[in-house]
Amino acid sequence: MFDLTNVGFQTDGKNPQTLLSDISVTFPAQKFTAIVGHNGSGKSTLLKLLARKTTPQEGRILLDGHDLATRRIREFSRKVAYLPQNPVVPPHITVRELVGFGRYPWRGAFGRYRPEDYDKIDSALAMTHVAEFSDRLVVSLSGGERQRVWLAMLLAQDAPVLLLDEPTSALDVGHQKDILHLISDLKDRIGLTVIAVLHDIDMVGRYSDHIVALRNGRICWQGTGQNFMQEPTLRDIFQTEIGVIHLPESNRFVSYIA
Amino acid sequence: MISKSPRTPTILVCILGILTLAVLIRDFWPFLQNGTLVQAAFTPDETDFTQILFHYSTLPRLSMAFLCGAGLALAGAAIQTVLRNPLASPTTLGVGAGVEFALTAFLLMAPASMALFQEAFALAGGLVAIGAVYLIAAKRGNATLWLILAGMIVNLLLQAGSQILLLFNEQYLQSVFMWGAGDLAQNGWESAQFVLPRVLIGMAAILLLSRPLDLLALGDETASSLGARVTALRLLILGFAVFITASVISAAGMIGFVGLAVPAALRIAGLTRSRDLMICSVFTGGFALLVIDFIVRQFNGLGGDTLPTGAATALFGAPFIILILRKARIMPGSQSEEHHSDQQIISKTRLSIILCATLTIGLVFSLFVSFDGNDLVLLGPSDARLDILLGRAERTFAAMICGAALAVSGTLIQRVGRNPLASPEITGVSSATALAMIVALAIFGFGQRAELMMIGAAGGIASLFLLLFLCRKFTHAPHYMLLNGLALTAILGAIVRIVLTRSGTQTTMLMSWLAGTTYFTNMDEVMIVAGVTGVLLTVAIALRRPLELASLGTDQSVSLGLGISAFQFFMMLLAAVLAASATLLVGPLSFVGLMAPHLARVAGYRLAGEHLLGALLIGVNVMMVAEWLARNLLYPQQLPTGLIAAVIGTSYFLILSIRRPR
Repeated sequence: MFDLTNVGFQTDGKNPQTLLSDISVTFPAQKFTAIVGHNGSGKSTLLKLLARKTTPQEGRILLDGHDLATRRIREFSRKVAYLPQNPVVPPHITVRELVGFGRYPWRGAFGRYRPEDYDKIDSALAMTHVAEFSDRLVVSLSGGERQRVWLAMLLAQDAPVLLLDEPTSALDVGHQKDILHLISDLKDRIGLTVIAVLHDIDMVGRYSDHIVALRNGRICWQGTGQNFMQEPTLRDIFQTEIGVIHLPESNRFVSYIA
Repeated sequence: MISKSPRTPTILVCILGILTLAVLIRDFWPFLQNGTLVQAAFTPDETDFTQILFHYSTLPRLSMAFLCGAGLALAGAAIQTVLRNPLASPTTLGVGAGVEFALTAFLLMAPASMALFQEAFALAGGLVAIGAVYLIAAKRGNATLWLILAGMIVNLLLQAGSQILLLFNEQYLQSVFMWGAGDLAQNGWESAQFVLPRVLIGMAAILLLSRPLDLLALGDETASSLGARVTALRLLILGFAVFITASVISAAGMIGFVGLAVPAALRIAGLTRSRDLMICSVFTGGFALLVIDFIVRQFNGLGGDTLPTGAATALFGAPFIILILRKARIMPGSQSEEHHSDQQIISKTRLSIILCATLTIGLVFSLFVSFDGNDLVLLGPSDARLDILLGRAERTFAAMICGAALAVSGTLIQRVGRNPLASPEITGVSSATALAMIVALAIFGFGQRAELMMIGAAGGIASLFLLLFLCRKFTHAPHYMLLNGLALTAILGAIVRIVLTRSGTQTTMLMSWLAGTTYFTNMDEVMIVAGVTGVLLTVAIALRRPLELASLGTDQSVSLGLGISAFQFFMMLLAAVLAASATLLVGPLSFVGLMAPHLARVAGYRLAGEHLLGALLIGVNVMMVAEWLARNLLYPQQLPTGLIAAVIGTSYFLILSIRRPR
């Protein structure tokens, strides 16, 4: 899906800081890829590059074999949906109206919404369990509820690629599980490609197919969920004493702080 | 970073000091040459004209410039420290406008026997203004942005008041206007003798209180736990700052921006201790105004008119503010702190119907009913009836169309700028339109209203682009746009004042147009503006979906496939054209573009399409009422509609900001 070759990124200004350097990686199609790493390791920056929010100073990024910049803006938004870490919440919009914005890439400024558009909106509301407050204002919701509403908007956008920047940071454990379960289920059913920045090690190990770990703006490790949940790997990525317990009955691993 | 002793302020003071010295030598040179300096300064030879001029004009002017500059800069430094707000100053917080209004009212209305109380009156005006500003902002935790906004609103309200007073006393217009523009020209030592003791007292008091002032910088809670009596201290220092300002303004008129720019510059240069800051401010401010005044004097010969120093100071100061804004990190009153209740989502049908009904009834009422000073008079059947009706219809329609155009323009700016307090008036678009027209009319002699309209529109669009250019880096911080707009408005205001003081006979006509009278309109123009408004409104409503999307912010709208920068550009262009055409009819100060969209939003018109229509209905209604009041309130006197609308608009915002604490 995404192919990156020697991508580097620096901040503007008098003292440019190198946030990413020499990133060469391929994000597999129709898989759940998690980007992990310590704070300030460049996770969000990498995701923004993929979402075209910023452009790299070095290297190139291909999407389906074409340069990222070549696509027109609405065409790109039909292909790639992006959820930033702190999206702007307009004070006057209801949940249903916000989710309805997800259809803009398909209908544009003047196109009429057809029944299928309303169907997509309804099913997005239902899948993320936000249908019950679909007529409330988004600003009146709690942080976790808002996160699910934004996710609903992305689902209504109906793009084959989802880029999620910490989509579960404000959710309780139950809803984290629900959302990640839903995303990985959608991935299996309709072949979505999901790339997400995640913090919870156990959730990463449980749901992702592929993991890219960053340290100080470089890729320090990549591999599968099974290989990720190993003590040496985790200690190396996070530079912290982390232990792993194997649960033989379900053949899973859980981490703990040693 | 380790705090090192800052060298920049010292260098700044030295440079200004050297410049001052140069100015003094330049002025003293003839007397230094023939050795009569001491004689000319203290006991002028009554037969020598140059010595008299030197003793009674040049010297007092130099002293006044230094005193006023020093006093205002110190007052600004004190206010900024006390309120912990890098943009506070006597002018931005309404003190200047308050004193100006009080003095204007006093000069025009009080009997001569009351002359003794003039100073108390001026002081009271300043205190009331800053008190109002402070009360409004205090309910919002004195957030920087709110304080400045409250100051701006109070400023505009008081200026509207002063203008109304002046329009009824045309015989004093020129002289009061000149004073209002800040004239430092002297013909004796009276003013200097008046200002000197007052500024000295104020300075001494403030400097004595400077140690507890440092405590205030730590925040109210810490300061009071360290034993400072926060409220008393704050009121005391604000009181002295207002006292200095009132004295300076009484003697020399409005001198803008010294009180804001000087302390702010010193603070950015690295002075943080309040005592050092204040002492430095005294010298920097004094030297700076002296030098500026010298430069201004050099232009005085041109055309035989005097150039008011105060207005010129604003020309120097306002660009500086724009510079500061680029450096300073100003915290807005964070938006998340506003508590969002689950606002009721009401149907607007009933409200819209009520508004339409008011509009129809009001229209019939304002066409057929007038007020002759005692009673309401119904237009009777007579020969002149049709003429009167046509005249009234023309002016009423002009006002209504302007209300509509400004409301649509304001809605677009508020939505695209994602700032509920932006408007064509506040962002400077209206002032720029007016400025372009005034310059074209007064200096280049364009008389055709159609030409003026084109020139005005070009001016408005140019100012909007300038504003967008200045704010391009701060797309996420709407308050930058507002503050840049404030500075832009101040520059334009200064130029307008300068042009007006030099345009002689046209002043009255220009002023009533600036105040927004519908008196000069004709039906053709109304029709053109109506056409423009209609077309652009249709375009805006057709584009309501992307307009709604724009409220998600740049990143998200791009993610959803909207080319936001081109779209914003286009929408702002629409807004500028609308504002410019409305300004031609009713002048730049009406405030409808701020009030109508805001009121519509509060009333529950949420989404872009209905917001546009709701604001339009409200704008039309307000302007209709303002027009009727303007024609009939003081019959047979005619008030400018724009001023009435401005009074309605600013009062609305005052009530709003007092009533809804968070």
